[in-house]
Amino acid sequence: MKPKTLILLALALPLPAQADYALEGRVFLKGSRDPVAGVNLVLLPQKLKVTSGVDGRFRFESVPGETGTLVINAQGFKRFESEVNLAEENEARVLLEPDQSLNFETTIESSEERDQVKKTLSRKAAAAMPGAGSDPIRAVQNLPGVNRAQGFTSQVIIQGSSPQDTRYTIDGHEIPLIFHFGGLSSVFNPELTESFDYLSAGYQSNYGRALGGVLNLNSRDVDAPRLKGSVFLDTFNSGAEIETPLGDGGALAIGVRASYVGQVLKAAFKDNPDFNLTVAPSYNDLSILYSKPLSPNLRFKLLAIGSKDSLEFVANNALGSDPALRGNFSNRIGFFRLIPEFEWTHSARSKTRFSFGLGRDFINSDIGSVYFNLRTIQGTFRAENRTVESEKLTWIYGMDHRFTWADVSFKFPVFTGDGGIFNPLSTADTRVADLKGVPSHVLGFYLNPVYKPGASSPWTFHPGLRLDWFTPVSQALIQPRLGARYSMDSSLALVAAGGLYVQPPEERQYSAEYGNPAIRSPEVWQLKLGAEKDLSEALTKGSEAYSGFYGRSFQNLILTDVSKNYSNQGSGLAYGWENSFKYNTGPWNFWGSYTLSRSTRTDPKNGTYLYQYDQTHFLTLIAGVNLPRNWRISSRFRYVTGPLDTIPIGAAGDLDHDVFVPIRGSLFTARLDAFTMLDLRIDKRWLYDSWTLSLYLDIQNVLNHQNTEGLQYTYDYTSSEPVKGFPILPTFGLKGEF
Amino acid sequence: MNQERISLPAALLLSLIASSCSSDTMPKYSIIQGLRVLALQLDCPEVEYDGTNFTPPPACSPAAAHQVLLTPVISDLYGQGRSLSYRVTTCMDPGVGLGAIPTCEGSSTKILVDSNTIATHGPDQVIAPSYTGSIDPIAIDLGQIPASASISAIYSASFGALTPDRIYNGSAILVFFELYPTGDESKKISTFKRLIYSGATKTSKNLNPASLDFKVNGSVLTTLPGTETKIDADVPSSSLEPYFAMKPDGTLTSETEEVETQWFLTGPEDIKCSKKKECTPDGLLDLSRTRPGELNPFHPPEGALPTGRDRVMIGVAKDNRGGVRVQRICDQNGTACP
Repeated sequence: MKPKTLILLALALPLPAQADYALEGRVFLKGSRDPVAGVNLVLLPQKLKVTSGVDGRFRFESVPGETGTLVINAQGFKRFESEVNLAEENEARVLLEPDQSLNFETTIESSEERDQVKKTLSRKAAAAMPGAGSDPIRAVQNLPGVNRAQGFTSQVIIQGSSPQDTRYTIDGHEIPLIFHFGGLSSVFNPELTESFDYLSAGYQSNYGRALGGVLNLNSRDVDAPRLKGSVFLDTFNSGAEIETPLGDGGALAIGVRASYVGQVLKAAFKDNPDFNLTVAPSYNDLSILYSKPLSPNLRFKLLAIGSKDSLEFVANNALGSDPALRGNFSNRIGFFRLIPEFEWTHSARSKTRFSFGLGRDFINSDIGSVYFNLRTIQGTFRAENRTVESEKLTWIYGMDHRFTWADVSFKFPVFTGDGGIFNPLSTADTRVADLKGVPSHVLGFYLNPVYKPGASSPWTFHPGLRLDWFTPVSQALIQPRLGARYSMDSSLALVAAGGLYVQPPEERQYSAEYGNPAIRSPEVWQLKLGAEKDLSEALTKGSEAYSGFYGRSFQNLILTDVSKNYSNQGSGLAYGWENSFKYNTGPWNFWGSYTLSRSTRTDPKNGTYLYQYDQTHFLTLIAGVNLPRNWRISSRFRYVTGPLDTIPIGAAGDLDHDVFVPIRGSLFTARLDAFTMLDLRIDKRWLYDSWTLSLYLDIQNVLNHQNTEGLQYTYDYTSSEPVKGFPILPTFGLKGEF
Repeated sequence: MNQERISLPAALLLSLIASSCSSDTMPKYSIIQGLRVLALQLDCPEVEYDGTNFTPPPACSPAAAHQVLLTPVISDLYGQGRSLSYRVTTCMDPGVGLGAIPTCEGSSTKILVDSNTIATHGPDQVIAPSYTGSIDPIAIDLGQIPASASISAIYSASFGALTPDRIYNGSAILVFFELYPTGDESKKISTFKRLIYSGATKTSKNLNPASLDFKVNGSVLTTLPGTETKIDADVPSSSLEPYFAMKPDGTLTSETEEVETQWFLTGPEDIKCSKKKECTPDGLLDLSRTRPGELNPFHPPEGALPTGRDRVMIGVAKDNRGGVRVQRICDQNGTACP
């Protein structure tokens, strides 16, 4: 650290003539002026050491000699060194520059309470990953076991499960979607995100109702000693976030974002006579956090989130080969939640966290002559107590509840999409319904204690039990789960986790009007076995490696059924070998994951076949380097086995509707070309005394590789041509923080 | 409500946007190029079923008491007058609208109605040089649809198990028409149409739209326009029949038919050249489907009549209950085909 890049402001005050001097001051973070607590300040050659306090204050007493060198060499900051003339200066203001090196460090809970399958990525590390476009949640696709979503969808598909088997929560409360339109951005403001948790096969009993896994967003605690904020803009959207102290010990943070991606699309379609984009696609969101300690033992936090996506266009001509797809199209999706949370610390060994969620979801979709409108009131409740009973046993138990009150009206065709090929909408029977006040309760209780046989025992056990009650299908389901960890030594641990998992059917599946009231909840047995190795040494902090196997056996999977609408006749298997590593050395960071997997489904009509989301190989390699002057360059390479497709063996022309109905061959027997993509990201940061300017260029598919995402068929299914994925897609972003 | 539910319409819209950018090399349904079946018309699109017999309503003026006529509209524009054969089969609808495979193969109610070579070419002379139009009607003996006692029992049992609203609104018999070059079924085109059968309580059965005319500024067209213009597929409002539909609770709702016209225009031999202007020797229609009153912009061809064939434009007006009316214009360089 060159002294010229540091600033030491001193007030020269006349000092009385004396042999010993004093030096006091405060340590601030350069670029934000936040006080820095807990750093050691050393005065040389006197060899005096003090530590900065909570407000960054420090004081050297009785310093012999008139001159000295003030040195700070703290982890996470660049070395500070400055000459001090103690005879002339007795007060100093230190601006400490943060170390800009970014590694892929994860945040890990204390090992006793850690879910053995949970992976937590911090916002800072995730947002800086190439291809993430500075949105931390988009980095989830870099984790092992997360399948690549085909085409332009944004769903998170976990370990060969179905997209609808992933549950999205924020601070443990379910939200209907995690990404805005096209997956360009997540719905929660990144600045208010602390981290996200990824729960896959074998996750513990404090979560449930998801066959695939859970993606949970953790909002951060707001602790604003002063007014601060940020403003950003990038290729697709812009936004701002502001934080301020509010009330006695309280702090408020508000973040807003608005997109303009629609204007880009509108320009792209302006010369297309068949397609009039009347309302450009847009999305907006609002995130609010408020934290306040109500008493020494009671902390209050309020989270509010609102999100809205909308799109309208007019298709003057039928789109594709389906005459039903013509006319006015619109789609509006929105939701909001208010989630107050209390954390009550009963004692040093026991605390309870409980939170309520209240909000509404709405969908309005008009697709030509059909429509789907949904209005729901959503209520959620979550409570959990953690009590350390002894050195061996920690009790963790709680409950989560979701109540839905829905008004739904629709005139919608019966979708048939076996083998990934949709029948034309025109040929499908249309269902019409107008239902008011349809209630639904899902209630779960869980027990998830942590048992360690002894202080020196290498074993930690997580026996779990979960009871879910689904009122729509009148099912109470007990799910045993077990996690275990065996520490071979201080850096190597073997982990195992598994159990039974269930998921309630969707409304359309159990509805008496258009589903099958006799439908049951699908379930899956899951198992995970793995080994974790901490590779961290002095210069490789945060380095680790993981290798393990997972297996899933699905039962009672819900299938469409011509005679009963839906039936529970599906089953399936998914298994794989996951590997990942993180390695940080000097300015270099490396991240890699490789998954070898297989996923199959079985049903009476088609027998056993590879599942649509089967991806044999999935390799992700990321490398980044922190360069001088706060530059950083990183790159991501991905290789994924090509998507599966079903080849039609014929088609019959439905001349009542002027469409051809495909006749499918064996399901998912055609493997399309493998997906490969190279992304590049360049970051630059300028640190000023009280504010910071950041710039990034995130280029997806920098080699403009033409990946095949699927096949588009002629109207009679006699031939096809590939549908190509995103071309080179640069995202430019600028962010100012104060 | 989960991500799948909430994102389904959005995902569909995204795919629609993507498909609107589809390549110009994909053949279009409305451009006639290869061997095609363009329409299937039943003279009586809905018949009565009493649990034993199918009976066409008198209002559709059936040719015989227990018979309906199937009139296919076909094209073999570049077949050079080759011999064509067809096969007509019927079976009970297996539930195509709910995702069942549209076929009569394997159905216990399958009946072969007719199988023949197209010996006569009907009123539109589906031979050189137009190669496109209606062929002679094919008679379907309704008494033969349940050709055996066992099939009759299946229909009867199935009908008896239906709810009153399904009996009133009707079920379907699939009428398959398969067309292929004689002796070469590998090029077979398989098409079907629904013959609706409903109970006697539904007193007014569906009829085909009364007429369809191509008009420009109110004048009926007999040849393709030579200039840029907008064509109206005129279906008289009297053809939009009022009818009743029964809801699951047994109440009747008053409805009115909606009619749309599917347009066809002959096109180039190269099936991968379907949208660009230089690939449209017969002109170009902007819209493939129109509603009543909606004008279809027509761009005339820039070149001369392709050698060896006529230009043909066909409109197929369809009500939303299976009724069909066909109109055809055949053009030889500005004069109507003989």
